[in-house]
Amino acid sequence: MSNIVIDAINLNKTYNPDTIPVKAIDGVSLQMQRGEFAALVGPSGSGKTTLLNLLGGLDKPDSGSILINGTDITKLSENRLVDYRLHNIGFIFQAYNLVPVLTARENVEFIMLLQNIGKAEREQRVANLLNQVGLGDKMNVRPSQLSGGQQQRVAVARALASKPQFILADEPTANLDSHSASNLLDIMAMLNKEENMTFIFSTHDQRVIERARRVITLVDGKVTSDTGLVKTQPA
Amino acid sequence: MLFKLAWRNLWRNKYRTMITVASVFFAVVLSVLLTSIQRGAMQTLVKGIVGFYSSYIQVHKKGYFDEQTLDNVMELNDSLVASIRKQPNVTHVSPRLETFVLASTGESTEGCMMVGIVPSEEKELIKLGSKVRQGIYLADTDRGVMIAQGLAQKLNLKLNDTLILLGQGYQGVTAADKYPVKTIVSFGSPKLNDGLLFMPLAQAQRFLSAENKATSLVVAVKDDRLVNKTQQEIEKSISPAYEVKNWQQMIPDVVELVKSKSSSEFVVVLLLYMLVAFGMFATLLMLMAERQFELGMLMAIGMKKAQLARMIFLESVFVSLVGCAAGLLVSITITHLLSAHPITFGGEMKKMYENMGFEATIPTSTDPSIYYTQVIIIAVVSLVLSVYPMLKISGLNALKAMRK
Ligand SMILES: Nc1ncnc2c1ncn2[C@@H]1O[C@H](COP(=O)(O)OP(=O)(O)O)[C@@H](O)[C@H]1O
Ligand SMILES: [Mg+2]
Repeated sequence: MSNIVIDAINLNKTYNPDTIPVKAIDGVSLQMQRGEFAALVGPSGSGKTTLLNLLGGLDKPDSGSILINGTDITKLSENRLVDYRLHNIGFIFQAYNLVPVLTARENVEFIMLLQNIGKAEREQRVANLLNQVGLGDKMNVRPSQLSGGQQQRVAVARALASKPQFILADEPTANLDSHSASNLLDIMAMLNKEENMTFIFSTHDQRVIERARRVITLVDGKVTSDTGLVKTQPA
Repeated sequence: MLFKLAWRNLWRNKYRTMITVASVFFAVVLSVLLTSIQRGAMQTLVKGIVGFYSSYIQVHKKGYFDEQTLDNVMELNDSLVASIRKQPNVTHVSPRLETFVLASTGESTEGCMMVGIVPSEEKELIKLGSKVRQGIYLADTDRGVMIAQGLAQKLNLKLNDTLILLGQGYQGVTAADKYPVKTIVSFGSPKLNDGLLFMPLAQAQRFLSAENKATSLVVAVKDDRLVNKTQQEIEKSISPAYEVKNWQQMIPDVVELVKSKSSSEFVVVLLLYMLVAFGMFATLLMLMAERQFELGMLMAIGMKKAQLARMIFLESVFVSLVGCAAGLLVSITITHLLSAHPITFGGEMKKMYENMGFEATIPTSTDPSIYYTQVIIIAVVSLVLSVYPMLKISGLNALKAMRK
């Protein structure tokens, strides 16, 4: 089996094609290997969110294809995509990731319930994951009683709970102080190592970028540098 | 899981949920009480006329109902009475001979309906015994008349005074005789109270030269809800030379009154529920707007639209269910208590009611249909309203929903 998880070929995406067209993604091709820990960087408006949405099957490109383990997700119907996301892609958003009426444990368990995973496995996995992200003692607490950093850690645990092919995180540290941000990155890096989970996260925080093992830079919807593939760049 | 989520979502905005539940609750309680008292009053009214005079079913010679004259009398025969009496829902069958006569004291004269009855039968049949205000209840062979209170007053008659009756008997024979007033009876309905005069059937037949004849056979039933069925069965079992009428056919004005009352009651109930529906709709609007982001997030991570819709639907169902159940519990208790221990009022009202022959109480109906109607209305309202979130969810796009 190939180690390539994502193979995006010549993606294009233009918003408002009929009124004021904005070319958000302009001929992007990108490959991701299993186990990568990659940062997507670039100035605001460069197309990071758009690219992550395309890779996550939340939006469709105007042209190009996205092969995930060989399946072209741009060809899936809306309904199939929901199911595809549930079983193959983990999401961490900037904020408000969690269902406010569910406890930390229930938020993580929820996604496995959607996947129809049995009770025993669910409970074990929830406990393991929350322990791994350092929230073993906050399992029965609702999001409103957790700090922003703790909430993001629950979101990480949830993203992992569904055993996805990879996890997409759009500016996961944007709302966190530097200490919490670095703590979140520690946890993500640890899970990347221990579980061999593939992470792609967008950011414009230099300290976060430094943690990545691969840095993909977008400018005006184009990849201008990719340290993971192009290793000839001068230091 | 969806249950748990829906249930907890109700507690997100406790006050709003409670207000919605309370609005359903009060709508149910108010409309049950309203309907119950309204129906109770109608039942009393119908009983007052049907139960105390016309009875639920009558059998006549064919054509009598359209032309109520002595030319259309029927010959009494035992087999006819027997075949009516053998119907399971029939409790009493009794002949009457009635016609319009002039009643006079010599000083004043009034037109009235003279009704020849079998007193021993009608005592039970229309509870005539309980209507006696003065004097004795006549025996079948007694000579004398029982006069309604209002008519007696108009004629300025007292007990044991002599009353002169003038009329036209069978085949145009002149009928004239005088009888002692033995009894004064009172009726709730002014129409009856001002114009009725009873005498034993045998005496009436002699007076009208209509030996062994009757204008109608009055039939009483055990269960008044089965009247139409019993009417059809009687029709089948007797000769087509007779006609069988039910109370709705005999007193269409009362039927109209009941109908118009219940349609006005329906309008009030409808308004009540429309108010509740608006409240529930406003709640749904707010709820969907507030949770836009969350619904988008849930869709993004892999929750299907159908599951989201079910969750929101369950939330409305909980609200309706709790409001409706509590409303029914309270209103069933109140109506059953009221009907078991009717509130009696006093003073002027009490006198007025008793003079009219009614009990001075607030009548309530505990007909089960009153209760399940509310359940049906609430269910329909909830279902119709749930169309909104369903539409909203079906048009939802995860990204758009999560954009601020
Ligand atoms: N829904 C949208 N409609 C129109 N233009 C959009 C929309 N989303 C993003 N854009 C535009 O596309 C470009 C890329 O945006 P985005 O992917 O959000 O960049 P980033 O995440 O790097 O800040 C920007 O110029 C932005 O204004
Ligand atoms: Mg962005």
